[in-house]
Amino acid sequence: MKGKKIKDSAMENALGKFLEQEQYLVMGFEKDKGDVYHRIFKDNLDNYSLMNPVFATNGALYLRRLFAKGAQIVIVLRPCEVRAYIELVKLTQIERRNIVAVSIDCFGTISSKDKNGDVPSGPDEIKSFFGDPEKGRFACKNCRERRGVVGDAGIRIDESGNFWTFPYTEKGETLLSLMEGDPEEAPQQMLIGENQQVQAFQVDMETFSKDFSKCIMCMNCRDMCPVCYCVDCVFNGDEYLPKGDALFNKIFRTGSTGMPRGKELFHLIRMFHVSQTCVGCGACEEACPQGIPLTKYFKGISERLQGMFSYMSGRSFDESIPYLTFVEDELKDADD
Amino acid sequence: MKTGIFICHCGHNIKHTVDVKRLSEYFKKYPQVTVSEDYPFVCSEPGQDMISESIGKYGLDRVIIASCAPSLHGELFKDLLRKKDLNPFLLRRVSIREHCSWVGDDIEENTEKAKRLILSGLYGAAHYVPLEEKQVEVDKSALVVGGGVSGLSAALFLSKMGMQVYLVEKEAQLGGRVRELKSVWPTRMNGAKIIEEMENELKGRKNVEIFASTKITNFEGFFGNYQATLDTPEGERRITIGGAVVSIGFAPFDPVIKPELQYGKDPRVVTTIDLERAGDDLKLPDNPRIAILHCIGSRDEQIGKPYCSRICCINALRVGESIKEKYSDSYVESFYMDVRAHPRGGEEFFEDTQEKGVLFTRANIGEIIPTPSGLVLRGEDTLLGEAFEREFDMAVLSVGMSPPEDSKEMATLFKISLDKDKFFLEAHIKLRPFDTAVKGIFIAGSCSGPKDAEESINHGRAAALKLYGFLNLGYAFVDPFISFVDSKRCSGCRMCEQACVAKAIKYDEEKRVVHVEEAACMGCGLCNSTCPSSAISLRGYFDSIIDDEISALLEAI
Repeated sequence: MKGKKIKDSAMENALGKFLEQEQYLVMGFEKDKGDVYHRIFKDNLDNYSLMNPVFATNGALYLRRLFAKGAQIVIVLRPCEVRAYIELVKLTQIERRNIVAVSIDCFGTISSKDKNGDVPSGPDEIKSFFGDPEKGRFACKNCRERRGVVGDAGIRIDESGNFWTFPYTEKGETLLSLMEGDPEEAPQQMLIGENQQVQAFQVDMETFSKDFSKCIMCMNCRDMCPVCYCVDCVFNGDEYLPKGDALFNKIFRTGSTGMPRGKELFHLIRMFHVSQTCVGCGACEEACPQGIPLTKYFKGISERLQGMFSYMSGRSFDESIPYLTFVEDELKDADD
Repeated sequence: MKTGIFICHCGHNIKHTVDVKRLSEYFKKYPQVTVSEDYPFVCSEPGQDMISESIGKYGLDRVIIASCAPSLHGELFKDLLRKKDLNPFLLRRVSIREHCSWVGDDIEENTEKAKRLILSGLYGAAHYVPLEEKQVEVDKSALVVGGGVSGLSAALFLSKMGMQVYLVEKEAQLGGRVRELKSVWPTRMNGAKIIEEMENELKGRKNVEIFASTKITNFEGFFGNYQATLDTPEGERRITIGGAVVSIGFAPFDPVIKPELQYGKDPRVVTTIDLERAGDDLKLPDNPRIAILHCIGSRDEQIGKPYCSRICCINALRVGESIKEKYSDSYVESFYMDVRAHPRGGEEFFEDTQEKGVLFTRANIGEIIPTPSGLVLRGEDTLLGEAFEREFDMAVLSVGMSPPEDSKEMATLFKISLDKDKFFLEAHIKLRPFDTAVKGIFIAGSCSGPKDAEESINHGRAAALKLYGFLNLGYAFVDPFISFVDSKRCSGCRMCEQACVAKAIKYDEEKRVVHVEEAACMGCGLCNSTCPSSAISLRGYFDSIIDDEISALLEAI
């Protein structure tokens, strides 16, 4: 595969050229006192960072209901973020027209909760840090989609720490033409290889109940989920709250009644809503103050469900979400 | 809340397996239940009076009638509420006959089940709100698709009743399959003559427009206001109609699928239709030996035609009879599975034919082997259990009816369901045999399963009558069960738009939310279940109703 090798700060230069135009923006990461955050850059790229080894939120979250109104935006984000962006485009929550999405190889991230001192930066530090398979968040340790192969263009990092760019669509091509250099044959090997072993999904309702009994219904998981996109969540209404009439009937007949707890219902309904679009980024777990292993459940179920429909969230703009398509002979072997 | 519960005995139908007295007593303890009664026939005059009186006397604001399935007497009880100035959508019907008393014999279990069903009705009805039926204007005109015998009779009926009729036929000539028949049993009338009579009657009428060699390329809209695009030889034409009768007929079974019968390979193997077409031109030797094979393309699981085509036994009898009449010294043997001479007089005709000398052998024919001297039929006599081989000069295949080639295409166009044999599926085989799931679209004739000419004519008229009944008033009430969007909650993800079969949901690019076109909505509720934020709901079937009904069914009593 042919791509352009990024020499020195060629990528920053290209993005800088892009920003010279009026109403042009870049969304990426900014380094700030040994930490890295999301930022939308206008005019200049001060403190810009291509990579971000800390996961606090999924960047696609900020893009929700983004209808650019003339502004042109380049987003350079991790694969799980670009995949969430692609799902949101399918659900008309983002307009693709004015956005160029670039995904960059990701080798794992540390939870903002576990962050201790400076975070690794640069390919060498990242390689030595994430080379240890025990390091990083649960979601990243079980991630099979580390390569920047989604979106309009991708940035890959080879085993010797060189950065390469590859266009995937016409838009990506146009953006990358701002960069100097000619395409040359790039090595296949990544800085750190794909995850060889990912945890098999195994769960029963008993452990589920146990894990989720810790839930305090703060709904942070919902608020931080990039693909939980409703402007008004069904749980904001009173549909799932006990209602006087019904309770009254029940008490009248049975003498006493327990109040509906609703925690599991909340998570099961949310699971049903996002399971086809879930990208497994683990933003929900990151947001949970109770430390519930949400990724295990959400990603596990999503992978299995998407597999039944030969679908993968965020793989391509052209694949339609299975909920929205009717194929006469699907789910033939989905008996478990 | 003042709820009245009325439990029907339905004579013995409900009473003999459900303890109705215990039920009516049980519900008296609910604070929101003002009156709980049981009565032998709630649908009878005195039964209706009882409900009316209770509404007046207690000022009921919810009425629960536990009786037969809601589709039965639905309008009757709604009217009852209307007369008492109570919104008819505050009525709740609970089926304790079809869903309960008819299902099992155990009185204890049935009574418990009925209790739960009524309880869920009580819970659900608590959330009911008065709904308004909207009145919309309808176009007093009809599209008749297919100019066969059923389409012609439908068109004729509709035009006589003063409707503007557009009759569309894909062939150049009207008349369909009946035109080809030399003599239509039992009147022995010439098929073409029957058609001509109908056609002449139709052609003189001012309110009829006939489009021959025309295809329908598009069909959209909603009841009372459908738009069809016709591809006529004179160019494209768009018409507006109130409703449609779809009568696209059938296709005769093509025996080429069964190679062992040699059809198409040996000219001595013919179908009943070939024989009709050949008529007097048919050349046979003196004292011909003729075999007639029944059930070709019917009752045959192997080729996916498990149904009986109903018409082919009579056809086979007619062939036998006519050959016997022409060649009195002929040897005619009919190989049958069962002789199903369905129509009136059919059984007598069968006996007549036997008396005229046609032999009937109950047999399975395995194959036909052509030899220079004749056709050897190899088969098994299923009464004697013996294999046989017999030589004939000609074999006549009594072919059955297959669904028309374009049945799937037309079904998609008009949103008609197909049954497993690819014939059109009626809304209900007994109660709504001409209706489809789409209001104002009716089916007639053999496109909804094999029928003879007489049945098809009746079917056409019946469908026309039903359509006439719908359109005659010039206006219609739209069911209030339509979806509506809470635009504040709508995220504009357009999931519902893709789920909607009626194409009633439209996306507003400006506001980035969807809205429902009320007249087009069928109230199926598909959109409701796709919406993750419950921003779209169906009037009269709110989530809260369904949730509470389910909890009533599951709760410990």
